[in-house]
Parts: sequence; structure tokens; C-alpha cells
Amino acid sequence: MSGYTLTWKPHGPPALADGAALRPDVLGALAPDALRAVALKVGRDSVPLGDLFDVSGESGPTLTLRGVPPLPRMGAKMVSGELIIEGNTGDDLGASMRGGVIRVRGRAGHRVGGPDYTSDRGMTGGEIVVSGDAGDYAGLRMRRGLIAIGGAAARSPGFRMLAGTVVVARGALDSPGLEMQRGTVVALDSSVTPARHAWFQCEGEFPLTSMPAALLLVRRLAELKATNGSVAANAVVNLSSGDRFGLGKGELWQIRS
Amino acid sequence: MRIQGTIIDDTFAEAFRMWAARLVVTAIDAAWLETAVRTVTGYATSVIGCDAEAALERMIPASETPDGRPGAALLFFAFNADKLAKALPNRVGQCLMTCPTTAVYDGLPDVKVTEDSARISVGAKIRFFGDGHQKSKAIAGRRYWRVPVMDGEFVVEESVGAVKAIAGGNFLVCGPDQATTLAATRRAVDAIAPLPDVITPFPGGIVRSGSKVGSRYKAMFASTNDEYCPTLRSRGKTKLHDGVGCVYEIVLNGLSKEAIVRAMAVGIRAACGPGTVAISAGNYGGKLGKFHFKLHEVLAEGGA
Repeated sequence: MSGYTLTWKPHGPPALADGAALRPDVLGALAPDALRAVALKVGRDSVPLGDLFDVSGESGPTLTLRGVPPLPRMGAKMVSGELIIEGNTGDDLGASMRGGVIRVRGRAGHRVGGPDYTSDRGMTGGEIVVSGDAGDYAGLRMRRGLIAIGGAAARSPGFRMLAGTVVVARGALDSPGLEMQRGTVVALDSSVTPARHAWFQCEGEFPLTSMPAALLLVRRLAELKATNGSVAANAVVNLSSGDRFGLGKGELWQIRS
Repeated sequence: MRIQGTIIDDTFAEAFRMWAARLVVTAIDAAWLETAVRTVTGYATSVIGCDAEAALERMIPASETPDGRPGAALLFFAFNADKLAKALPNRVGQCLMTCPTTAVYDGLPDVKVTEDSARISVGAKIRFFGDGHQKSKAIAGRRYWRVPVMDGEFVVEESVGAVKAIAGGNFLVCGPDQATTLAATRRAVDAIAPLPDVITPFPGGIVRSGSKVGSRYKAMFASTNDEYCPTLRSRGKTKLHDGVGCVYEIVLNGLSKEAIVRAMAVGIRAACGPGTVAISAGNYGGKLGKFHFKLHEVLAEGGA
């Protein structure tokens, strides 16, 4: 995997920097000098990327960020390539992204894969893999794609989602899929008793091997190394449909080994 | 030319252009997988009378299938992409969706729409059986339809890749009697079976009713290959060597010319030996197809 590595310089105004320009599909095609000259928004000002990051590597589809503070909107609107973030991210990670893969080796903020400021739709493609926890409303208004959270999710993963898949590996889900239209919110923590959500209708419990779509998802999660543990062959899927106050075509899966 | 005493006729097999698709079918266990394979490849020997030619390409271990269950790769051939687009949804809908526990995936997922390739809608059509309860799921850039059925869900990929391919590669195994010739032909079929990108679509991989183009009857566009019928030896032009009382044909459909050459070479060498008088091939004077597989060249190129 060729590409640039951007290492955060230990100074600068991190709290106000906007991560939206940190996209592998855009930055990966630039020559090093052009990359250093890319303007990053910091508050109302613009700062050359080279002032905030040390640049190493070569052009390519992978962009690695090291030591970076949790900036908002990293990977927003990206359409291809791989963005690797070694550390925590701020809010709106992968906002309205359309393709590619984002890997976060740390925690993510609120609204992972949600809509960007100028859009009413969240991500419409691609995959986001977070090794740690995620904040509120992961998958907000997402239309397509996969969000895999290796830790726990805060309030309502899949909130108002249109379609797509949100996977949460640890802990119970707090009000998942509120007002969701379609799509799937998946819980993988076997230690948690399947919750009865008032706005979802439980359809029953089915062997994993009888649900090829779940098997496809489990295999994809393994390929992405998105979860720490593997799912046992004799696992079962506790399936609920809802939100019954909405279209009712969304699903909650709790896969229990 | 002779191999282990068997005469290799200096002739060629005449093959023609077809389009092909590969389906990967999975099921909960080997027994139901075999049922699914037998059903969906039934009545698919020749496009003379069937909507498609189809057969098992190979079994796939669970570790290599998309959903981790036992699987099989099947090849389907039809005259063009439109005919394939009609045959596949019908066969998948009637034979695989109805079969307990199956799922269907595209075996040529990298195929894009070009002059020489196409995408055939399968799940995109079958989904309507769900009567509004169907759901799609996109995983790793591939889209699947989940159709609710009485044992759970039938998962079928939205579309499958189709490519230009070759059908009608063949060779004839000529022996003294049915038992000896059948044994030699079975050896050939068994040797071809593990090879990729090729199928033998006839019963057990073998044809006894080899055909020629045309007929004395207007309604027929193919009829018995009388030059190789031992009971007609004295009635006209025969191509049978002395001592031949039985002929079986192996027809090969492949995704590429190379696949057919390899399969012909492997099969012919397996069929040769004591009891097999000669190996020949079916051709129709260039009237049927543009692909000519000369036996002597095939054996030189195909190795084995």
C-alpha cells in the first residue's frame, strides 16, 4: 500500500483545524510540494498542510495520519482510497463519504458516517472501521456502506439511518435505530442479553448458518479485521424489525455465540 | 498419430461462440448442495433443445465460499447474453430459490459491461418474489437481495457477470463395444472434471447421440451423426475404423480457448489405451463455428 504519511507537528491550533481536506483520494494524487501547499481551514484562516504536518512517503491510494489530534470531519466526502488514522478522531468522521475505507486505531466522535454540513444524507458508500468506541448517532442518516465499531457505541447507533450497516462489537445498544427507515444495526456482544426495544418487533432467533446475509457480513468483518473476536459457527441471530413508527424495514441483529 | 496404440485421427473439433456465466451456489450441507446442483443443471445439455447448457465446474470448500458454507461453481452457456438473461433468472428462481437453504453468488464478480462482457440481472428480478418484503444488502461493493422464504431467507446476488466463451469443443472415443468404450470415456470425463473454466454438460459428461448440422426433415436443424453410427456402417459414408462398434462423444464448453485445449488434451490422453481403437472429433465442414481444434495440435499444445 503506497501513499503518504502525515505526522502532526507538535504545535499549532488543533482545536480549530478542519479535517475535511484529509482525504486519500485527493491528497494521494498530489506531488509532495503540492501536498504541503494544500490549504487546511483553521478557524477562519487557511494554513498550508505542510505547516501542520511532516510529510513522508509517496503518492498513492493510502493516507496515514499519525499523532493527529481528534479533528472533525476527517475523510469527509472521500470517494476512494484508504485513510488510516492512528489515534482518536473528532466528530463527523467520514461525513457523506461515498467510497473507500477509513480505519481508526482509536476512538471516534459523534455522528460517524453521518451527513456533512451541506447534505441531508450520511455516507452513501465505503467502509469505516473504528477499533475503539464511538460517540452518539453512529450512522446518522447513512444511505449505504458499513460502519464497524470495535468498541461500544454511545446513544442510538443507526439513528435515522436510511440503509446500510452499523456493527457494534461491545456492550449493549442504547436506543439503536431510532427512526431508521431501512438498514441493519448489529450487536456482537454475546454477554449482553438481547434487549427488547419498544419500537422494534422481535421476529425470533435464527441459526447464523441459516442467514447467509449475516454470514456474508461476518466474513467481511473478518476480512477487515474489524472485530477482535470471531463469531462461532453455532452462533444465533436475534432478529428484530423496526422502527415501527417509521417505515419499519430496518433490522436489529444481535449475533450471539 | 497414435497414443498407447490408439489412433488419433487427423481431424478437428468445430466449436462456436456462446456466452457464459458462473454461479456460486452454497447450501447448509453437502447433501442439499448436491440437490441444488442437480436441479439447476437439469435439462441443460444442449441449446439444440434447452435454454442453456450447464454443469458443475467444481465443488468449493466452505473456506473459499462467500458465506463460509459448502459451495459449488456452476457454468451456464447460452447463445447470447439476452438468452442467458432469460435462462438464469428462470433457473435460479425455479430450482435454487425453491431448494432448502441455498444462496446464489456471482462467480465472475470482476466482469464489467463491455463489448465482450455483460452483467446479467438475477437477484434484481427474483427479488420481486418477496412481494415488498425483500431487502437488499451491499457488502464489499457487491449487492445482494434477501428474499424472505419459509425457511428463512434466500440470498441472491443482484447481477452476475457474463463473458463471451466457447461451446462445442469435442472429441469422439471409438471402441469395440459399449462396455469398453464407456470405460474409456469415463476415464476421460474423470480426468477433465478437476480442470477449471470448463464443463461437460451432457449426462455423466458423455453424449451417445452425437449430431450433425441439418436434416432431411425441415423442422429439424440437427440430426444423428450417421457417419459415426455403427449400425449404419454399410449404408453410406462411414468414418468408423475397422473394429469400432461403439462411439461416445465428450462435448466441452469453456470460458476460453485455452481451457478447452487443455481439457481436450487431458481427456484424450486418459481415454487412450488398450481397447480404445481411435479418437476422432466432430466437425461440420466449417458450417457450425469458427473455432477449430485440431486434435494433433491440441495434443501438442495441451500438455498433460
